[in-house]
Amino acid sequence: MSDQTISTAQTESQRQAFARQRAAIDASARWPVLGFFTGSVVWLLVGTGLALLASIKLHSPEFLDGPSWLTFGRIRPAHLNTVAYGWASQAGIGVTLWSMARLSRTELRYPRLLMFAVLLWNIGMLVGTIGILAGEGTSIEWLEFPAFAPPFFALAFAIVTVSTMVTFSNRREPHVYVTQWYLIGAVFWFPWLYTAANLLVIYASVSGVSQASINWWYAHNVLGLWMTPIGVGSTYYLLPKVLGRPIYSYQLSLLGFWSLALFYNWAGVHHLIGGPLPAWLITLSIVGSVMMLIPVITVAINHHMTVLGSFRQLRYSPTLRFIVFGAMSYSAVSIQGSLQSLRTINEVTHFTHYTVAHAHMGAYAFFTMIMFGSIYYIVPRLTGWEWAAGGLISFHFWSTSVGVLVYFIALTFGGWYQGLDLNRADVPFMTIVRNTLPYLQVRSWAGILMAAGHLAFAALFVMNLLHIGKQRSGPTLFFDRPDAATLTVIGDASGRTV
Amino acid sequence: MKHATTMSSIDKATPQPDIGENHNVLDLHAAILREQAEPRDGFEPIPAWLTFVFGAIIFWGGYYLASFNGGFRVTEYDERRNGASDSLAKSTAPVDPVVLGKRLYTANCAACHQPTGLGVSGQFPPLADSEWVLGEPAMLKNILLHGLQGPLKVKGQSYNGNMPAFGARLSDDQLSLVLSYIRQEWGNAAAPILPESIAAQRKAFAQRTNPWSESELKTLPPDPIAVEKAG
Amino acid sequence: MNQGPTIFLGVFLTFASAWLGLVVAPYVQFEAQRSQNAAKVDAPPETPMEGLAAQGRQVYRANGCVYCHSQQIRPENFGSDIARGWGPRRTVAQDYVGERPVMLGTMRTGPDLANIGTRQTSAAWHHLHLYNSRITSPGSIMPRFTFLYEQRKVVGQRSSAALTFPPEWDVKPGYEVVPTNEAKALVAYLLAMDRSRPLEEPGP
Repeated sequence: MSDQTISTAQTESQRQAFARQRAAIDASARWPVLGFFTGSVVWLLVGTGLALLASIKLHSPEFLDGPSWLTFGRIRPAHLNTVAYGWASQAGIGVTLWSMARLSRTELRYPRLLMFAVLLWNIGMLVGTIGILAGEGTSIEWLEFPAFAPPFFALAFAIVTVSTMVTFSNRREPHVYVTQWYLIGAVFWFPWLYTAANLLVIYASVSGVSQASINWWYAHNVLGLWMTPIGVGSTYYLLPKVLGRPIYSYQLSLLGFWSLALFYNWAGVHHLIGGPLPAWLITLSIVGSVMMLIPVITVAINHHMTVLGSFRQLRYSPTLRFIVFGAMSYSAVSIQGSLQSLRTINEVTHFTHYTVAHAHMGAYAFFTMIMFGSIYYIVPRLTGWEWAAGGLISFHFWSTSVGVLVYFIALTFGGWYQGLDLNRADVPFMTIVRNTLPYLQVRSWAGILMAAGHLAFAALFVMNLLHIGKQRSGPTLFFDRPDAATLTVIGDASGRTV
Repeated sequence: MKHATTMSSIDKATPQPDIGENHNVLDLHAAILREQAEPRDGFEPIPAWLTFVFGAIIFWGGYYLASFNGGFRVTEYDERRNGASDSLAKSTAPVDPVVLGKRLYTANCAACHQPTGLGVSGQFPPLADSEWVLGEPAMLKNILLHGLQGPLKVKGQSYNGNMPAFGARLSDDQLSLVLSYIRQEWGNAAAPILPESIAAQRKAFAQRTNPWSESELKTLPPDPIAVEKAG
Repeated sequence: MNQGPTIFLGVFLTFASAWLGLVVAPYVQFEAQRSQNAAKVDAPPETPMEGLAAQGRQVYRANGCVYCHSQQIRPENFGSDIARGWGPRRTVAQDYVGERPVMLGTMRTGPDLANIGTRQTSAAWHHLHLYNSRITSPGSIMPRFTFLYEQRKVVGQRSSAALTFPPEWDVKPGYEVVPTNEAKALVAYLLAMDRSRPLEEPGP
């Protein structure tokens, strides 16, 4: 019997049975998922600190300089790897494991092995980050961890993939929901990407420009075939779940998934437009990048039509607000990405801070915000404790959303002007450098705002783990709902949301 | 944590036949109780206009790929060429020598002497209104050919540095272009320098390997080609 | 789409196609071209740099210079790299043969360095610039690499390798700043960077 039958058709006893199932599933997932989430929050704070350092050093180069491990060229890759693999990937794994178990309606498999994977992953993070700061970084973007770190991640991820797929293959739910397709894709694609890229570029003797094309095939696919499926998949799960409404169109879901799988793969070499690669390779990636408009528009329509009519719920639900912000950012940043892969635009934006703004729109405004929303939903179900203070969640939301928007606007404008001037040979280089400084300074302020939000988030997380705050029977919302009193009743058949 | 299903009971690949049995409904916390059913699919059709939009995008993709694939050859870097022929005809339109000279200056000299020709006080002498640039051409040509080292006075200010030699790096044509450029830029107005005169200086001091000093330059014999022809 | 195998097959095939197209095919093409070029009687050497310059590449890598500096020249009609004097022609695959890692770079917070060895031939300038870029280039935001240098008391004769500072930047009397081996290697690497040789065949 499927849990996805229309809610009004479920009897009281069916609802109780499903609730008990969910409790058992959550119990099985508790330690691994909380383990990965804890790791992710720790590295979020580390990565944020490194980010602020790097940002300030760009406009104040003598800030905290001196020892070799504090030089910008080491802090910057340390920042990227800690937020990409420490924060984003661990949050993504936690969300994947829980979502797959819930949607398969069966317990998460191999939780003890998964705890071992948590340990491996975070050891890898520690040795890798120290390695970069010690000067052992590879200077290959997104693959900077020195050769002794990747084996930790490869082994940890093998465990994650096996657990996810075994959980899936033992599913009780006959219908395979769209989120599950994305998660299957993600746990299959990422290990292959990671292993192939590390083997070819770090360990084997591939040299010359082949390294570059493999590097950017890998790096872009980390965004497209690892972060995006988890972000989009989580949106597909939590939007309808929180709203109690169906996803708008199964056909659109199919189209969105398969066109993403088909096209996203090919986009990576757009990082090398104008570079020492033959025209056919560049053109292929440009075509792949523009074709991405198809899955992006599809998913945008699907999500939008699902939420349409219920936007007022954004006033109350933290999960919904973070996720809708993230989903809208996904549409915006992807359309921007398709456009900036066109040669005429790329001629201006390549090599500038514009690209950095775009990267943060994707990795932060899209993925990180969706991870925040997902964690706000999942953690109370694992700990049995609601969030301590709606006010803190609100502060977290506003500081991070305003922060990332200010960041994006500052560096988009700054980078665009930088690019225009770079293309005018009579503009002296030092003038261009000087002109970027105000934008870089605004970015540092935006970063401080975002960091404050992260501190609030970390505080909330710790308080929840330690069961601090008053015990609630209802969810922690931004504002009290007028119908709050009825929300704790089991099996509310009216379709009311929470 | 309250509801402990023991780890060992769920650590097997196959689950219990009836999960959730251990849980008394009263132990379940509020979050689980108030949840909606798992999400389900709706079945709205794909909007018709969307298929047209996507068709247009795919058409564009095909057109772009067909037009800019460079014949799929590894040696073709220019996407505008379809690999029909391998050679790219070099543009035969003549380029303004001032433009060429400026490029050479930017590439080789501006790092020290600055794009403004003003140098860096105390370190790299200025070229604007400099007696070394505007004066006897033999000195200027030889500075470029063999370099200059040691104390130097330029426009009344003292310098003591090391200018590398460019004789090996740049050809006579290139030296002619860059020197002619600096002699007419930043308010300077002196006649251009011909490649033949550079060649003559190169030949006259072919054995020299050391950089010049200021005193040596000031006592150089006069230029064999005494006067530069204008233009 | 309720069959796991269907999903798996689709996920596998879409991924494999791009892997073949973006990773395998270019690699095969480049290797074929490389062996073709190497067979020519006037082929340039396979290992682009040796000795101190090769060590310098590792110093460049360790300190993340690639995050501000690119090493690739775009074509004449695309951007102004050539007009800025960063190189006489665009860079092609042959310019990077044998380099590990290849550090093409994706940011130009600082200028492109593909041909820096032909543009800035003074080791002394590089040492001053690395020690504190604001000495040679006022307004620069490049970090100081003072950790690549050693400030020490002059013992007897001043070292021939000691940096010569302009008066307002000079270290206190009786002291000198000498480059470590890492600094010397890095400067050797920078001086050796040259991708301006004309291509044998008509190319791009």
